[in-house]
Amino acid sequence: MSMTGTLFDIQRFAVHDGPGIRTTVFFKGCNNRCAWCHNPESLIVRPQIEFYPTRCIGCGKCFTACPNGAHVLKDGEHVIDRARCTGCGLCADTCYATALTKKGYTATVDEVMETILADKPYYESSGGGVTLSGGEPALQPEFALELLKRCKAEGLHTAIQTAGNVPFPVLQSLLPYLDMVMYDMKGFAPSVYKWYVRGDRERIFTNLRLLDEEFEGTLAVRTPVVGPVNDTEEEIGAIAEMLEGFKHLSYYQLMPYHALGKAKYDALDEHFEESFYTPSTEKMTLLEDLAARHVRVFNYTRGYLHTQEEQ
Amino acid sequence: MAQRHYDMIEGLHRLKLQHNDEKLRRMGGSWDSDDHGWIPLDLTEPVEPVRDEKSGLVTGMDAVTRTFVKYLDAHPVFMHEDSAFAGCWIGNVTGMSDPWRDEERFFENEAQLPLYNITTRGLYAMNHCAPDLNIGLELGWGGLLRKIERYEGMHSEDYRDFYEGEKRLVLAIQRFVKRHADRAFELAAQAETEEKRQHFTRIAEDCAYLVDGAPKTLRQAIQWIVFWQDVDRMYFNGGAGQELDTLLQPYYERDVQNGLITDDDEVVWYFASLFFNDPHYSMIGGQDPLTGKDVTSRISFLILEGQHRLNIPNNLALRVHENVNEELFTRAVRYLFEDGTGVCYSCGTGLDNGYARNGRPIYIARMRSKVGCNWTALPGIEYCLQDVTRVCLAKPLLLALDDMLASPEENSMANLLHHYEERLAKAVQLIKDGIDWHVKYKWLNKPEVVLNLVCHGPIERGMDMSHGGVDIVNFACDATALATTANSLAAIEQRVVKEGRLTWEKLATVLKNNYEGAEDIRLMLKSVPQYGAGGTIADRYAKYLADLYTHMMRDTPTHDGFIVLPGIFSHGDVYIHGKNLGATPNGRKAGEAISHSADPDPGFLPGGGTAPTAKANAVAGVQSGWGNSTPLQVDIDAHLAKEMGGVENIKAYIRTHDRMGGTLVNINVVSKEKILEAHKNPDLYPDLVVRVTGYSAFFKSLSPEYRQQVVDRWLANG
Repeated sequence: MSMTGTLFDIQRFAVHDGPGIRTTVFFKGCNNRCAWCHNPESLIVRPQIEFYPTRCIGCGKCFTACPNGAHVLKDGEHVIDRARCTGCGLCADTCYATALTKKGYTATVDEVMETILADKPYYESSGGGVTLSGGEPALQPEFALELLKRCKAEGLHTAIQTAGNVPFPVLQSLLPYLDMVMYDMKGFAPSVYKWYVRGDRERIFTNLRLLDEEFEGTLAVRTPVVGPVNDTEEEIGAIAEMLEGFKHLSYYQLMPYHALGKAKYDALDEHFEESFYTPSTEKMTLLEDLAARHVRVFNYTRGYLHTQEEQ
Repeated sequence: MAQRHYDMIEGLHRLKLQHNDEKLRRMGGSWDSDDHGWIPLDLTEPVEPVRDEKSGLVTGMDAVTRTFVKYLDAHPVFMHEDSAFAGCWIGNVTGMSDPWRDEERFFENEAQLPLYNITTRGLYAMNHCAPDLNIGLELGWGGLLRKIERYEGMHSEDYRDFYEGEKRLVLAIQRFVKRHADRAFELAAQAETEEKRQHFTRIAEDCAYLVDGAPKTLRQAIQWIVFWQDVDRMYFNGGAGQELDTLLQPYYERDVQNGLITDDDEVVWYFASLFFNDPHYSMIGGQDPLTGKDVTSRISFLILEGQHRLNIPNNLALRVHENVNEELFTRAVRYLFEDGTGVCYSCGTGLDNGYARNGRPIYIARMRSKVGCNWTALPGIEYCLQDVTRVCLAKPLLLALDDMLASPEENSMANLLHHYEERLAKAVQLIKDGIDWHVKYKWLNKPEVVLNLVCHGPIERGMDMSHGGVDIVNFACDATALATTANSLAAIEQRVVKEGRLTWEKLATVLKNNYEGAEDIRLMLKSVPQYGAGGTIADRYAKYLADLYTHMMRDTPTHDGFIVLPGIFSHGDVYIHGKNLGATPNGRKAGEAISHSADPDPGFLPGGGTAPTAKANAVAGVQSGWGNSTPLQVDIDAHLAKEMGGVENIKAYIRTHDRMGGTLVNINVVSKEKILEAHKNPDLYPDLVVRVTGYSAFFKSLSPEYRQQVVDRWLANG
């Protein structure tokens, strides 16, 4: 029996998750709670039901399909009683209008590999491969390890996107089967971690330093730049300054926040924080140029911005 | 000097937009086809067709060519200060819409076609074969005339009609060319500036020479092609060009050697002017037939540059193969990103190996050039009638369902498929019978008077190219509605057979009622895992359908022994076949468009997404493998185009499809925001060009239904 993991999506023809044409496997479950997360369905491991009322044709099948009575009428409107919903997905199975969709499923390594290998010729011709993302893939280390081993056995380039909030030995166990690590640094100031990321800052910082010591592949650090949380010269400058001393860092990348996750928050009946904003292009350029004084910066349209030393 | 040439190209771009507005006005607001390059001018005088005395129709060599001559003589001349070349076409030869003679019409066949939803039937069709323009370039119009006279002298009176007709046409073309020379001399004399005087004098001298002489320089060679293109278009919209780079490379290199060409920007302007004249389908790159080496040369880049700088609808193809010139390939993809549309990518590996399976040497297969919307043909030696014959895979399914329910047999998937195979076989036979009939009578009704001039054999033998004029004869037929039918079969198997959620009778009833009052059933049927997702029931049926159709079409020749090469391609039949088709078990309502070519339906992945790799895998998996195209249509978000590695990723994508046996890749690059805005306000984006199917067009020119098709694909991209 092939090992199983909990996923919420597999994206093919992914071109922003490492080099070349890739397949990105999204693990479900994360132990940070970044307030701006654009994948709210990735946070908890348990499957969840998304509800898109505009697609509902009012057939009522979900009401009878649900064993827990989670579909209820509230003031004449169809809503999901989230306290009763276990995410079993029986309602979604009957919802042909796709107003209800189950987010999260269990997949075996074999099943995931079948999808991955369907695009193997494209990885070979583009220098692409497979990226584990999430959620936090390192929270399902056995499954991630097995998947990576199988990918390497197929000769595929492998990458992981991690926020690093796990014990280092967990990350360490995956490294022999990884060609690239994309490590998220959500901010520098302790307050960013306390109020917005809600993850263990010390562990995240320490793990990155240890990775720089031990990992022999490509190490990239990425920061989602979220206004007004960390879109400042102080925040980005401090991260870049810290990275300056790193021996194996390939590049540092700043990613502007976007609000595309709003529809999913609504569909999960979860609060979407409206106060965040996307930094302007000018601001992003300024922050990248600032960071480039210390480290090599990568931007998909600007390319690599080299430090003075490199130039 | 470079800037002057680029300014003139920009002038041509603006002129095309002006022409397009006027064309849209004349066409009633939309134009769901190739731009074709026609110019909105009027005949100098009305043309009364010359009709065959016996039938009263414009049929037969004599009536056709006499009418053609009158049309050519009344056709306006055209030249412009920004174009290197004179010539244009304004419409089709008057009276050609007359049908074939009654006694040569296949009425019995025609009556059965609607039952099978066959609208593009091959029978009675024109053109759709490749010319070998080397013949014309080597001889010129005068040389062609003398060739006709020479061979006429070797033939009996029985061939007089054929030779007199061809001679009559060439003489009229010569007059057409001469009128352009005369007009250019007049414009030169009236020119207000020395620059304009020189411009029109140059055109006048070349045209005057080309009335009789064979082109000596690159500019003369392209001017000759321009006139040929115009005449070809006038006669039933002929649109096949040739491998432009290998065709014109000797002229270019000789001119450079002789010091006649000192500035490549001037050559870029030549090609922009050629593409302004007409977007005849043509090709660059590819392999030398004998050695297999890539044939790219300097002129290949100049042709591409001309297309890029003009930036209007164009039908240039780059032939991709294992040793494709990397620089040309990179530049083609880069321009695709910059312009949003560009060349299409003809995949040599699948096409060449497939055609060779027909018992042709690989060097013959490599000669098959991409000169049509979705298709390839051997220049000047093959009568193939591509892209005008299509079988709808979905209609036989609806008929089969009725057949099974009316029979005493049990209702089962196996029985349904048994009836389906019977019905599809009948549709295929209708096509094949039509082809036999076509070959017997076409030459007597609408001979290929233009193509005959530039093929190897018709003039030498005194025989129309459709009737013994060329040695290689094989036909083509494209299947449509693959995804519609595969998803329908999957829906039946899953919902009716496996899950029992629906009875056969109920299925038939909801289909007959066009899902009226049964939206939940429609959505249930629609929500089965789709063709393209990989490993689904629908994927299995897509392969079954493609193989079944391929075997039926290819394994048995027509009664008269002609091979029909299968492909899967829908073109505008997406709408016509859809309009005539009742509701289908995949949740599609009656009258709605059918699926596009062999592409999976938009949103085919679980969760409603799409992925270019999954789509390409699906299309590669249903190729017929006999050398005809089953194209892949992909829409790439413009954001990717701006990114590092974007060009390389798209190149890798195209290259992989070629290696997997794909035959043609059509790509649009545009942002979702832009396409949605343009759909709402087409006038705000007058020069947005999209690749609709195998052809490209101004987005603005398309009808709302065609624009919706492009938009739907984008919405499915997420």
